[in-house]
Amino acid sequence: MEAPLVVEGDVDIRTGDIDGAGDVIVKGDVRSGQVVTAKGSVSVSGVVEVSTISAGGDVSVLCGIAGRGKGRIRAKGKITVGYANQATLEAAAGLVIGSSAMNSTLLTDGDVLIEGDGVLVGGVVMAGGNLTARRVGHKGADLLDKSKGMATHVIEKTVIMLGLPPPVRRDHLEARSRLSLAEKLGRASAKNVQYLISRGVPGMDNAMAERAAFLAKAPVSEAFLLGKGPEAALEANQELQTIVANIALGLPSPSKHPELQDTEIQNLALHLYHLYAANRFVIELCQQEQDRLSCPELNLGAALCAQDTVHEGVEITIGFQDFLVEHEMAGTVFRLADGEIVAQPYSADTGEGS
Amino acid sequence: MSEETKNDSPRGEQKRHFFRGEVALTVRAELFALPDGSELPTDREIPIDMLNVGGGGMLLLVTRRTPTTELVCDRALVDLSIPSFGSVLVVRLLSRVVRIETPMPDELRLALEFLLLSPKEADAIVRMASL
Repeated sequence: MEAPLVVEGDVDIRTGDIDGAGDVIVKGDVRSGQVVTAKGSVSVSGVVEVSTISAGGDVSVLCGIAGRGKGRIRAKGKITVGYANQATLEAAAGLVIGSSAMNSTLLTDGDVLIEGDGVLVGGVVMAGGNLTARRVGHKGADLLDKSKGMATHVIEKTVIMLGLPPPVRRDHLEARSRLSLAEKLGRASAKNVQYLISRGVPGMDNAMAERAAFLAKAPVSEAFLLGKGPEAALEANQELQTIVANIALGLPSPSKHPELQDTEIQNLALHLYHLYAANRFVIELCQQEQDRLSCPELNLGAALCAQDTVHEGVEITIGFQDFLVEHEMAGTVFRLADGEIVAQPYSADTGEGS
Repeated sequence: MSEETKNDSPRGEQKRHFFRGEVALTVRAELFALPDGSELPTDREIPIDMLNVGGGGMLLLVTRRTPTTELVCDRALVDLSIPSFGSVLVVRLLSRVVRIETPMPDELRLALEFLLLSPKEADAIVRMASL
């Protein structure tokens, strides 16, 4: 077994970056710009500044990390820090913070526990398990007044996402934004189709035009999400494909007949094709989202426990359900019940919602 | 550009449509429709490598013959998806097969012309081909 690598003072420009084959023990601070890497665990007695710590095991920082938006700690085990300020902490096996986390990004497959003052103010939490703190969020108006003229202390929104490991959560968020973009593109194409058909398209069969206008009216995502399922959406899009194919097969070659381009029927075919393509994205993304609903990593028992207060404006997601805290609430536990997030009063006796 | 010069070129100022560039892109091709309107198989994917692309079309190399590739014929419509096209969503281009060559018994070369293409998409393709 490798003996631990011990740095008696600070890790700074004099020591250079540290790369340990086993554990690393730093008896001072890790100064800005330094990188500490260890195959085993890392233990820091002082403060971690704008630097990076990466460990194959646990990371423990007695004081805390003041990351100024760039400091980062990554551990394959657990991370324990005194406090986290404008830092990113990423741990596979859970995060324990001694007093407060401010404007930080906390990522873990396990639980997040903020002990002591238990303050979570600003930033993002993505955890596969539970989050326990005393005070979550902030009184927006008060803090914003105090922060005038002190740009570095501006408090961010507090966003908490529980019940999914961070990589799965990121995939879900990305899919959601792609879905919204695909729907937007689809709506724009549908509007163009309806406009062109309402003006009349020379050379197009009336029945086909009516059918195309009908298909453009019904957004495929709604058909999908309103319970008709993928088959109905696929069938509608298949019909759209047939209409596009019927028109496109008769179009003149753009290279051989440039003079016959940009006709109304070609414009219509282009927008119908764009609508078809947007619908394909929507269907694929909706299917992915449905698969994600039953993904093995989904932890439906994940809960947010705010022992003292949760302030208004805090955004909570558990599993795939969203909840916005609209007014300040005293000791509350948020968890899923019957597919929705419910807020239950916190009980100090049981340590849970009642 | 004078009117006379414009008319000298087959497509006026769109000479760039004939420019071809070799690019390494992941392109997915699906059979979209056959000229006689006959029914398509469930698996419509055509396994391809892309040879070159320009503002007017693409040259695709089919290295694996499948039941779907056997159906591809002159004037068949092919739906192309290009994921790495500077967009968060896949870009789709509808194309028509204008020429089929068989340089080797197991290979097909499909020359496609873009059929439905917005000016914005044409510009993006020309930019991509000239990289």
